[in-house]
Amino acid sequence: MKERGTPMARIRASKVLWFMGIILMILVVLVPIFIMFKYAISDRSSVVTGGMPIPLWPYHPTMEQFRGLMSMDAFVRSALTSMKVALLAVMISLVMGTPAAYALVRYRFPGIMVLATLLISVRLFPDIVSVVPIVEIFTKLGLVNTVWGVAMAHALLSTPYVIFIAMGVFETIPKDLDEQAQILGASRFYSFTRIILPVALPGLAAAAIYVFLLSWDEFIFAYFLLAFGGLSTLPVMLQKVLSWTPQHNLLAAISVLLSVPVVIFTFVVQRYMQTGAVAGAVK
Amino acid sequence: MAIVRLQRINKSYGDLQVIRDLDLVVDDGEFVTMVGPSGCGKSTTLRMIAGLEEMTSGQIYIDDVLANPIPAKDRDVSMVFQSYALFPHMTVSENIAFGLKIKKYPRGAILKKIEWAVSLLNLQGLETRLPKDLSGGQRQRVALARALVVEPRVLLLDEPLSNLDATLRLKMRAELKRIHKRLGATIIYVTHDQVEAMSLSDRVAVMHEGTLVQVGPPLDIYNAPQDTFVAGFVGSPSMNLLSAKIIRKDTGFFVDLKAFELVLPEGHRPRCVSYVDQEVVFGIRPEHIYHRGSWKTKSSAGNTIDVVVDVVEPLGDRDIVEVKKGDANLTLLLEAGAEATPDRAMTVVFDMEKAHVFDKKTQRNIIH
Repeated sequence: MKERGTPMARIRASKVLWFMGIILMILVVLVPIFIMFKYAISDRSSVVTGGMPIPLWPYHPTMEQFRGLMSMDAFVRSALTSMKVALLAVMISLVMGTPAAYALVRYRFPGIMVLATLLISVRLFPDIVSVVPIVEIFTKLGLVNTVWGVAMAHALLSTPYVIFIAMGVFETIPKDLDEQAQILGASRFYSFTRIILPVALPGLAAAAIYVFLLSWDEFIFAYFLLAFGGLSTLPVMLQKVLSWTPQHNLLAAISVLLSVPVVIFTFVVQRYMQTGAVAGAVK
Repeated sequence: MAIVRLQRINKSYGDLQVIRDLDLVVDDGEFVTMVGPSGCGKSTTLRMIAGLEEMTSGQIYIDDVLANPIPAKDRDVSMVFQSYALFPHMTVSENIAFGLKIKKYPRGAILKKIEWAVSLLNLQGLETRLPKDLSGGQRQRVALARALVVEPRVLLLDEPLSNLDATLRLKMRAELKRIHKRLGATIIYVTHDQVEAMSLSDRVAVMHEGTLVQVGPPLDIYNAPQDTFVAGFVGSPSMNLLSAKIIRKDTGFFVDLKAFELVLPEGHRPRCVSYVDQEVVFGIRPEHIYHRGSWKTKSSAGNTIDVVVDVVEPLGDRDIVEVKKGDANLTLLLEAGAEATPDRAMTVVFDMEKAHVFDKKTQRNIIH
C-alpha cells in the first residue's frame, strides 16, 4: 500500500508527457493550415500592416479572394482540366498497374526483382530528365496539348508506385483464394476481377489517392506538354499568376482551393480503406 | 461421383523428389484418407488431383478419362482447403453460390441448391453473414457447403478439421461421416492425424517420405502394419518398438529383449525360423499389455513380467503408464485404477498374439 503512490504518480507524469507530445504534434500539423486559412480570409489591411505585427485573426474577415478566383475564367477552367487529368491518370495507372502487380506477385519467374526495379527506374532520375523524350514521343503521337497526354504522362510517373503498392496488397491476399476460385470453375480473369480486386480494394484506394495527389500537384510534365496550347492545369496556371508576385492573401486562397479537391477525393476514397478486408478468409 | 486412379505419380522440385511412384485407386463413393507426417507429400498429391500442381510424371484418371491436360477449373472436382479460403467480401449464400454462378445455373436452381446446402450443413440463419462474422466451425461448414453444392465428381479435403478446437473437431468428424453416408460421394481426405484417418475412412493410405507405404481398411492397418513406420505412426499412444533378438530354446521360440524374454506363440514360429539369432525389432501396442489383474484370457505362460512404474498419465477411463524393465522403456494403456503408482513394482502380461516382429534391415513386418 505504501508504494502505491509512487508508481501511480509516475504513470500520471508519463501520461501528461504523452499528451503534451501529442498536442505538440497536432500543432505542427494544424498551425500551417490555420495560417493558410487565416491569410485566405484576410482583408488587405490585415496583410499589409506597415510594420505592425500581423494579427492572429484578420481585422475584417472576407471571402473576397475566393470570389475573385472563382470568377476568374482561367482559374476555373484550369481547375476543371486538372480534375480531368487527375481522374484520368488514376484510371490509367490503376488499369495498367494492378494486373501487372498481380502477375508479378502470383507468377513467380526468374528475374522478377530486376523487372520490378526496372519498372520503378523511371523515377530514379529527376523528372526533368524524362521530360524531353516524353514530350518528343507525345508530339509524334499528337498527344501534346491534350488532357489525355498529360494524364498519360502522370500515369507514367505513378504506375511504378501503383505496381509497388498493389504488389504489397496482393501479397497479403492468400493464394488459397485464387486456387479455390479456380477449382470452382473460375478462369484467371474471373477470379482476378471478382475475388482478388474486391478484396484488394482498400489497399488500391491508397494507391488511387497517391496518384491523384501526384497528378494534381505535378508541374513539369504538364508545363512542357501544355506549353503551346490553350489548356493548362492549375499548377501551370499558377506559375503564370505567381510571376507577378501577388499578395499573401490571394496566394493563401489559391492554396485553400487547391487542397479542397484533394481532401474531398481522399475522403471519398477513404471509405474503402477499412482494415481487415481479408478477415474471415482463412482460419 | 467417380473413380480416381493415380498411376506412377512422381513429383520433384529440382533435385528434391517429393512423391515417388505413387499408385492408388479410389473407388466410386469411397472415402480414402491419406495420412502421414507433415512433409510426406500428401497435400501435394491432393493438389495434383485437383490440378493445382503439375506432376513430373505419371497419370491421373478420373472416371477413366486422363485428367493430366485438364486445367483445375474444368476438372469438376471440389476441394476444401485447410484455411477454408472463404471469399471475405461475399456473404455465406454468395460464397456457396459462387461455383453455381460460374457454371451458369439458372437463378431458381441456385436458390434451391443454396437452401439444400444450408440445411445439410445446419447453416440456417447465417446466409447473409460475412465470413468474418462466423465462428471457425461455421466457416468450415460454409467451405464444405460451397464444395458440395457444385456436385463434384470427387471431393478433396485438405486437413479440413485441423483449425478447429478439439470438441468441434469431433463434432465435425461425425458430421463428415454422416454427409459421406448420405451423399455417397467419392472423398479423398488428407490429414496428419491418424485418429481422424482411422475413424473416418473406408480405406487409409499411409504415406511416408513421398511413397505410399500401406493402403487398406483402418483395422487392417492397425492390426497388421507392414513396417515399423506404419506401426509407430498409426495408433495412439504409439506402438512400443524395441530392439530384440529371436532365440530358440528347447521350450520354443523367444524374443530376447536383454532385460527379459518373451515366448512367441506357436503360430508365429514358422515365420520366425529364418530369423533365429538375428537382430529384429519387437513391437507391441500399449493396449496389448495388461495389468495382471485384468488379464482374463487363456494362459500365456512366460509372458508375465515384473516392471517398475515410471510415470502415470490419467486419461479418465484409462491411464497411460510408462514403465521400465532394465534399460527397456515401455508404454502401457491400462484401465483406470490399475494400481499403477510411480516407482512401485507392478506385474504386467504381454498379449503375444497381438505382438509384431520386424526385420531389422528392411523394417518389414515378419509376422503379419
